[in-house]
Amino acid sequence: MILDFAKNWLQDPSRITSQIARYLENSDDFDVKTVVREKDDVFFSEGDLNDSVYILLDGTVELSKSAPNGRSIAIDWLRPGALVGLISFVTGDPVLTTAVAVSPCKAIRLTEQDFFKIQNSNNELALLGQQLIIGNLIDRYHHVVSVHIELESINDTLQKERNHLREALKQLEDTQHRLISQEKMATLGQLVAGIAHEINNPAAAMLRASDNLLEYLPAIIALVDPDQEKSYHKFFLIGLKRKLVNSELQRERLQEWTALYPELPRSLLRKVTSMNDEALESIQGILGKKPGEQEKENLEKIVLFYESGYFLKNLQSSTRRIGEIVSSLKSYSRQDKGQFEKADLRDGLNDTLLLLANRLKKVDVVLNFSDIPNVDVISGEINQVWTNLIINACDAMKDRGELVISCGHSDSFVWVSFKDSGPGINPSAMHEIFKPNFTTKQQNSNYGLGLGLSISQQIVLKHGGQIKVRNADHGGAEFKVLLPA
Amino acid sequence: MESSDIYIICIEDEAEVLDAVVRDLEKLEATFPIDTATSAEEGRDLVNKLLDDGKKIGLIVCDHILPGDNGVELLIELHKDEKTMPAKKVLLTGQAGLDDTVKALNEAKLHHYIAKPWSKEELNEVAVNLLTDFVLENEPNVLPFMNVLDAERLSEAIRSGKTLSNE
Repeated sequence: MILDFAKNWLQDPSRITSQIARYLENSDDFDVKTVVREKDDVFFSEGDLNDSVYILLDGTVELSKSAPNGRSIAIDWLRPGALVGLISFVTGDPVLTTAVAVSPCKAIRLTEQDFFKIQNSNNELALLGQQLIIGNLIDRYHHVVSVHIELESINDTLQKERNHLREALKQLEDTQHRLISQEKMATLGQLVAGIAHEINNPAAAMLRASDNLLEYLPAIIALVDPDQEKSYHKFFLIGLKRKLVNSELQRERLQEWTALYPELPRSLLRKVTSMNDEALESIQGILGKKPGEQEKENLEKIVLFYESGYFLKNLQSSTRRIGEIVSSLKSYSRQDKGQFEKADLRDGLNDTLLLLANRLKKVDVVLNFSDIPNVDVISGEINQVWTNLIINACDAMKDRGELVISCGHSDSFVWVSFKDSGPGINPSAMHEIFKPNFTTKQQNSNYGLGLGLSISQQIVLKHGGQIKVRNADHGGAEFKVLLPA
Repeated sequence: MESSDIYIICIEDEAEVLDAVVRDLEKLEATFPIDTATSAEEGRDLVNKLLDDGKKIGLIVCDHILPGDNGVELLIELHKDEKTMPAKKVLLTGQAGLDDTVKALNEAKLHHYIAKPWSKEELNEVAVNLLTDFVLENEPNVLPFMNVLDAERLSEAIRSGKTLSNE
């Protein structure tokens, strides 16, 4: 059913109100007043009791309500044709909203009496009255619908905003973690460089001292045995050149010699049997078939010189090892520069491997290094990438297996790959592994925050390169780092 | 006294370190022959060979990180074998994590834990103590060990009649 008046109302609500106004003015039965309100004048306030209703002829009225937080929110704007105060007027309840003129207004004020009179008057006026009320209800309903739609779109925007904020917060946290981790690495680097420096001096002093001993001891030995008839110098040199005998062979020899010379203590024979064949032969000559107290004493002295040589050798090789570790530590943690420099990636790899030697004790490390050109890198950072990838491989293999490290190059890039013999990467996790906080490792003091790969990728990206990952054909994971040549 | 048939086994993969351990225990060797191995596998074979020859294992000093099976695994395995269960077990370690240490204590009934670098006195004291325990628990006659082991504890045991010969 289409009511023409309703259509007309929507097109121009003031048509009906002006008709009503004309009726009321021309009728003797009514004594209604046309009221005028200036801007900011109040029709009625929220909570008032209302005994009249206004038919707005001109101007705009704002309806507002105070929210629980005390602020006043605008609810609706009424335009000519609208009834102001309709609901409180017909229900007798306190007014829901405050009505204020936002522009100069003209309105007809109807009392209860007037209202009933209109309804009971001649047909045409009553009909116009009904149309006015229905028209107003239509307007209000339209308003409610549009408010709902607006609310929905606001909610939608809000939700998007919230998601966006959540994402931003997460990124912020990730960045914070990364920064903390980088800061830690930088601190650690400085610490390591400092310790390396501190160890370097005593290590150098030790090496120098042992070099000097190497020079002085033969002279001292010559004082004891000037004609070399006791062969002290010879056995000192044998000790100095002692090669470690495989423990199985050593055990057999010891057994043999304890059977041969039951009168000699086992601890003495253990030292003797660590000598080479030539030395053993001359010792047998010294001891004779059945060594007495004199021979035993002679042997003890010889062993003394042999051991001195051996200790000196030990001292030298151990000191050299300390020196190597220190220099690896130094070049590994070249944090002090932090600048791009041309470097041979293999040097950093070797340093890293030396420092991780303990972790790699049970891992067969296979190096397939081919010649590669120098590349522009921040060595300290790139070493961190190698460290992360090697440690990840160790973790994946539970520290046992084979790690193949290869390198090579093409025209545009140099690559280094790490292939382990672990279980490989779960395909469902493949796209997640570079995300911060992704970890397959149990939370444990030994394990990190799952930032290793994320940081490695950032470092490689910063170098203009990329990390590729795949599961190798015969199992295990392969990480390949490409850096621009 | 004459050498006994109770052996001390040292297992360590770094020759220099193994050498140092053996040297530190040198004084005990007059009574307790020392034998060495450089991996868990070799250690296992050595222990079996000695047992086959009718020898006893009194003390095992084992490095933590070894090629192949690690020291904790080996000690656990030896503890589960009734022939090597009585042997006293010492873990020598440069870097044991807490987890491994707990495992060694619980499953291998590890008797002592020595952190590298150790001192000669410390190692000797531990060895003497544990070997004293061993002979008290396993040897009917503890008298011959008076000179090398903890004489006070041994004579106390003899005096109070708490040696195996009285049981």
